[in-house]
This record gives sequence, structure tokens and C-alpha cells, in this order.
Amino acid sequence: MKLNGKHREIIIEIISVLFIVLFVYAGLTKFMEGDRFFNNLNNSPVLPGNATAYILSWGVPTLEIVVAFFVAWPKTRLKGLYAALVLMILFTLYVAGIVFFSPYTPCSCGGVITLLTWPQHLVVNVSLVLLTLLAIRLYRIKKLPNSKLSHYKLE
Amino acid sequence: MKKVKVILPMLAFVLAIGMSFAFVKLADPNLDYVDDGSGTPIPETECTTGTDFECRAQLEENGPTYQIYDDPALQVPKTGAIEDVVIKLWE
Repeated sequence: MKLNGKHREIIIEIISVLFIVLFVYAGLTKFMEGDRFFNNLNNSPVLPGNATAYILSWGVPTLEIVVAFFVAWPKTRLKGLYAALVLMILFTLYVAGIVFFSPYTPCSCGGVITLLTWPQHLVVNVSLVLLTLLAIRLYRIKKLPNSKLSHYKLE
Repeated sequence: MKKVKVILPMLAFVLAIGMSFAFVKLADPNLDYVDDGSGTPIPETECTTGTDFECRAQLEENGPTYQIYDDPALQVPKTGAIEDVVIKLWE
């Protein structure tokens, strides 16, 4: 299948909207259920100490919402997508740590994601990392001059 | 397409804000819950905030004590800062 400029833009838009919804929802839920999120982090077998849990309980949702704003604003979208990629890789490493190395599995996070088991959570995270990579690649192709595009056509 | 690029992210924000309010179960500030197998609600208790000691409730005289939680999902345990606390609800 040949992807022309319009298709690329539509795919980038869809992935960006997905990440905006995901990060704003996850960030706000963590702020609203602050006690529960802090408690989950505090009981986590792969995170050390009370102070780390306290810092992360404020830092993670703040970062998620800031990244969502970066993705939403067209001029900063690429930076936002890179930031989303870094965040998603960190979350994936954390979930992988719980699934493969943790002596016990703590209760999962709040919101709709509570319905997922940790291995399912890992699959979702890996899929989201791949989606971010796709969006970044398409965005970079979109910005290239036409003469260089022939190398990147997805068929 | 340009208008869509501005409006779509805004709609995504609105959707996400709506979803987070819809799915968050905020705990009743006047109630606590005990881990007795059915999550029985009890009146709000006065355990000091801290993380080192347990805050437990005894529902009947000489009965077992149960951990007190802030939320019906029994995920946020109440704790006492100085020592373990047992609230005697039968008194």
C-alpha cells in the first residue's frame, strides 16, 4: 500500500489524538486518585523508598499532561511524540520489571486500566511504543523534501 | 485540514477530561471501609496520617480486628503515625 501525504497526516493525527486522550486521562486520574497512586508506588516491589513514591506521584501525572499539550500543539508535536516515546519506554520497563523480576505483583493502577492484568498491560505498552515510533517516522517523512521521499515510501 | 488539526486535539482533551471524571470512583469523605471480606462501611475514623503503623477496627467485643481503608476498593489503607491504632466500634 502506498502512503501519500494525506494518509500520513491522517495516521499522525489519529495517533496524536490517541496519545492526548491517553495521557490526559491517565494524568488527571492519577491526580484525582492521588492517595491510591502514591500507595501503589509505595508498595511497588521495583521502586525504592517513600521519597521516590512521593516525587513520582506528582511528577508522573504532571509530565503526562505536559506531554499531551506538546503533542496537541502542531508546532511542538514532534517534540511531544519523542517525549511520549521516552515516557512509554519508561512505563514499559517498569511493567516489564513487575512482570518478569518482581517477587510479587502489586495491585495495578487506577481507572479503566485496572481491568488489565500486568502481562496485558505490558502488551498494551509495547503496542503504544510501536505506535509512537510509527508516528515519529511518518512525521519525519512528512517534513523531508520531496527529492528524498522516494527512499521512504511504504509499499 | 488546518481547522481539524486545531479542533481535534481540543476535542481529545475534552473527551479525556470527561472520561477521567466518569471513571474515577471518589471515596465518600464521611465513610471508611474495613477489610472484613465484604468491605463493610464504617463512620469516618480519626487515624493520624502516617505510613508505619496500622489503623484497625474492631466491630464487636472480643471480635477480630480489621484493617481500615479510605476507599471502597480497599486500596488506600489508613495508618497511624505513632503506634498501631484499634478503633472499637462496639463501645
